[in-house]
Amino acid sequence: MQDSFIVDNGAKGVWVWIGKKASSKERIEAMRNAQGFIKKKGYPDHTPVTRVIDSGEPVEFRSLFSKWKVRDEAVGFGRQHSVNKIAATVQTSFDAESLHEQPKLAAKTGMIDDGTGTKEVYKVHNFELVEVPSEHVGCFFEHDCYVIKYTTQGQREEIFVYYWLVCNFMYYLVSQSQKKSSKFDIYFAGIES
Amino acid sequence: MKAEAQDKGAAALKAVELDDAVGGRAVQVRVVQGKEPSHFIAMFGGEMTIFLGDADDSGYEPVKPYLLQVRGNNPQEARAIQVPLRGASLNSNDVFVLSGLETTFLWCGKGCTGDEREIGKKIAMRDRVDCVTVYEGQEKSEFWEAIGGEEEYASDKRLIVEDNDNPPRLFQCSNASGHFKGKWIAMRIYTRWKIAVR
Repeated sequence: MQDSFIVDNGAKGVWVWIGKKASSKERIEAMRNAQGFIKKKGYPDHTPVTRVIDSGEPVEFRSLFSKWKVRDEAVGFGRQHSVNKIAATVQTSFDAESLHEQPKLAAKTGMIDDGTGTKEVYKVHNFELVEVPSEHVGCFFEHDCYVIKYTTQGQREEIFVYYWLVCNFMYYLVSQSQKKSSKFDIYFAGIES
Repeated sequence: MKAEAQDKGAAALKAVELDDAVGGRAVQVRVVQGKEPSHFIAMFGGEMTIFLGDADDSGYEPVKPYLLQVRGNNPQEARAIQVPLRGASLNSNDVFVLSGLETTFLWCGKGCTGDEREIGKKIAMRDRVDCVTVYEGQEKSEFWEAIGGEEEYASDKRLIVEDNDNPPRLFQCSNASGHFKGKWIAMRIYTRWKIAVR
């Protein structure tokens, strides 16, 4: 930094590098030293001499050094931004509590919690509920119907009763409801707006 | 052992009974096959499996061997559905589990995602037998033998079958204010509304 250097690239040119803290005498003498250097080495008179200042080196000068590094310089193709890729997101576990602050997410998933509460899975058989063994929980057969009681964890315990049916089962439900009209009268109660 | 028709009808009644047992505090949700809400699927941690047809004599095991199609990238949407056991059932955009043989095959289509493979692996591991991962285009003859012969199947990217892309929605329509208004309310059923079944 305090000195100046002569970089000899043969007949292709001589570079004079001047450090940031080089004395003014050095700066003035540098070019003349370079001229003297050419004569001494016996290079042709038309050999170019280029003055380069510390931290302002051009590419032509930098390319003479295999490992010249510039701060914040792109390496290779640098960072690529494409339309298909979006910014990386932080993966966090599904937090049901935070849904109150994120109504949009809550509306999208429509979930009350992450599904890790306690559940009892029953299969309907001969008009009775038969509990499904734990190793078979999650398996559903099209010809069977299932009733699941789910209790959320946390301070405000909520209970859900799901009943799982096959699509074309609707016909049966409708025909049955017409027979026992009072039993399958589905309506909404406690409507809040 | 085929479920009696009246058992199906009993499901809704039994749901009411369970609700009554907790003093009517529960929210009853009717779930139709193929339109399961996220929370319902999430309860099973990505291992929800739907078998077509009947169970075997135990009542809980499917008739072996069987082929499952795995779909969905997270535990809130992942489902495995049984498809006919033949080469034509495959689809390049999904993961399939061929189960019930000496070894379980996990077939990964070219268009499947890493998350789908993970969920498929979880389902394949339930059998507690060796699991062989097969990648599309690198199948060995034993896989084709197990599936019952090589056949043409959906391999076009455009044949990604979007399921549940248009879930049913509930609107409340009223002209009480003098103007006819339709208001979408369905999503609230799971959180605030209560469906009562008498």
